[in-house]
Amino acid sequence: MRCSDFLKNLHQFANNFLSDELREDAVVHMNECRNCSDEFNSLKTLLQYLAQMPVPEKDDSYWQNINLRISSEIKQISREKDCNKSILSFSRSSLGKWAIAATLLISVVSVSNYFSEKFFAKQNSSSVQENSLLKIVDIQGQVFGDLPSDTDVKKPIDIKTSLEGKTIRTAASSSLRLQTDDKSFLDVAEKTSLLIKECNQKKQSFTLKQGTVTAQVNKRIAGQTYQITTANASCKVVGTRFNLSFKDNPDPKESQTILHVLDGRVLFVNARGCSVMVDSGYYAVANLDTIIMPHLKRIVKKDKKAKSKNDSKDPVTPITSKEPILKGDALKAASALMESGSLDEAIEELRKIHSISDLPKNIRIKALQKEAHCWKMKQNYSQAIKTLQQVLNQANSENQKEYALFQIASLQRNEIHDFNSAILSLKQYLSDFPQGIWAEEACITLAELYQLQKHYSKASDLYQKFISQYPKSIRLESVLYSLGRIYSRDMQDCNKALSIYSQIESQYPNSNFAEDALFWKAECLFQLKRISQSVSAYKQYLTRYPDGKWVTEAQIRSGYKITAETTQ
Amino acid sequence: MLGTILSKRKFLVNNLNNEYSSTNKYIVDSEKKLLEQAAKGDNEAFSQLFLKYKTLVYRVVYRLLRIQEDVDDAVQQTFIEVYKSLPGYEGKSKFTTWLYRIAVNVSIQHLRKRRSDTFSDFDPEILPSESNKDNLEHLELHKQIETALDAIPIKKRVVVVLHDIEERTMEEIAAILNIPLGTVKSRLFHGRDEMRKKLQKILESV
Repeated sequence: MRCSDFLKNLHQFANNFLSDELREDAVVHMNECRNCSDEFNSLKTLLQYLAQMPVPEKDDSYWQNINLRISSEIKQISREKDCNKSILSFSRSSLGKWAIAATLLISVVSVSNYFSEKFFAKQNSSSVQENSLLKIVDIQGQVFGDLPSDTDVKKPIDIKTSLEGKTIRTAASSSLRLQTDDKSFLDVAEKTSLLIKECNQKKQSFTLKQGTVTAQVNKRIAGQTYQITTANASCKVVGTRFNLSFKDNPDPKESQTILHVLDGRVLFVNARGCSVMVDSGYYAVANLDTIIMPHLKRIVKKDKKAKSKNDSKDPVTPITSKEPILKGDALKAASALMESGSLDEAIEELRKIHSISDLPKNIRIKALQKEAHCWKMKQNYSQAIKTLQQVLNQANSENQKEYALFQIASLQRNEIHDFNSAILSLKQYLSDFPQGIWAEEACITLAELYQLQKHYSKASDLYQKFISQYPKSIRLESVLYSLGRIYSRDMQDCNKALSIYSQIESQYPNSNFAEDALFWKAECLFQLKRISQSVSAYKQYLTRYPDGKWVTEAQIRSGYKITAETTQ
Repeated sequence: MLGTILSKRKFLVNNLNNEYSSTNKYIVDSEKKLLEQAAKGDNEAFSQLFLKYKTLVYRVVYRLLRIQEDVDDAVQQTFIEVYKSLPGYEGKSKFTTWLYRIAVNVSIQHLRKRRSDTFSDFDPEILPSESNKDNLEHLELHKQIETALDAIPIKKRVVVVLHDIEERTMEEIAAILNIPLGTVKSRLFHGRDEMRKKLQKILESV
């Protein structure tokens, strides 16, 4: 057997698929040829390790939880099937009209009757919902529940009745904890008023009228939404922890909604349709016209020197409140449709608006922006991008262009995972708006995408640019760490990596990256044959992180483990 | 010597096959009944199916995704898909083949949706060492293999996982993925070769 024949049959040989005759030839050849023997052995080793790849075992509670999640989804599917069988079909347009009417009604009720609402506790025990998706698990102090239709005044809430449709109010020094069936929690603080609008398998929706709530939301499955709205903003999440406060004011423009994200990401949208994605650790403040993200303030100030002194709060999105004059009612109607979830009808209305030939450009752009938002909500991201590209082509202000371009890049990267297009869009963004509101975000995202595409040199250049351009950024430590990993792992440049890891160690000793940085620093020293320094760095790691994730490796590298084993 | 081992293995396989065929009818009948009941919406029957196949689904999904949050979602989604599609299951292929197909498809969807920022989760690479080589390589080899497996294209990865880890036959993989046998072989061999290339130094030194 020749080498080429052996290699052609290598995989079959390793899997015992060869005929006896070929197998014997292969064995003979392997004894004669070192290279082929090595090839075979390396493949065998790989297969042996693959066959032993561990899978973590799961206990009963894990499977019970998964089983519960499946059962609840199956119940929902069954319910939908039953509904489809029995429900009479309504035309979509009539539903849309009802949705608008309902939205208007809610607005009227919430504005005029809010302070005169009556508290009540429903006494009818026959309406107890044993399978309710939302239940009260803890009450401290006085909590009331009310419905606009009820006439009873200030009766304590009856925890056995359905909460859907009720407004819950907590008195001073009182609080409440609500739990949904997927073990998500909503903590209602004192002096808070919260309307439970909808709570079913698909949609959980609340309106915070006053006060503060803290939500801890487990990851939603596809098609499920979790939303908390206030009079001037809304938060939509897929699974996270956040804190939301609403400070009401007689002048609606002065009312403020404050969002503090504790974990994950939250989409924060104000009443004008401005939307921002708020990351873990950050907070944002929404009022009627703007959303302010304090950690971006520095960048915005730099970009907008021309602004008046009074305008110290910078809108994050470029949509202003001055535009809707013509067709304003139609836009409002479309917004109401969007709010009510009738997205197809909203898109239809918006398309009618922006197809009018003599429409002022600002209204057209606004309609297109709303349409893009509808497509996003429908998760039709390609269509959202197409619509945003229309915005980009027709925009008459730099702000509108900037917003559209960054949105396109975000959708390409996050939703349709078209990384090549996302790279192009981000490059265009950074070239057109080098001082833009999202320039910092764009720079870091582009670097990450280059890293992902294995363009390590471009990625490292961009990370370096970020470090010099945004020396006060709170993301600096994570950028430094990423740069260090590129140098040590991808570019095998241990000298540069060492300098970066040392910088993290000295400048950010308490950051989340400090532990890894110290370990990799020791590894780099090892690679550079600076053995004594390396051993000292490993020992430093072991002292500082006795329960760290690299303890075993550090013990072996520093000789500790071997000595211990040998002694035994 | 090799011949003796092979003939012993064949004998064991034959024995197992005979044992299987004597109980086969009972297994097929009881499973068929269970599947029929579950397809009609019997939640108890579906629950039994879940208990019976949860580990199989978990194993394959875990080996393809490895991020626990994604794994949980994919396991759940697989069984939801099974529930939805059971009425259409005609029994033309083995139930496990059909189940694997759903689990693999759900996992592939997750892999494609996975956001770029999760690449930092696959970060366990360790620079090759000069001393204590054996110990460290032994400790890290699994991590390295997982990293190499993550780095090969999804289609090849699926075949490698099903064949070399899940020990499915090539014919079964062809049925699971609905692709020709030749394509299975080619994806398997290329996938392994790509992994070997990435792991060359380490595999040589083990």
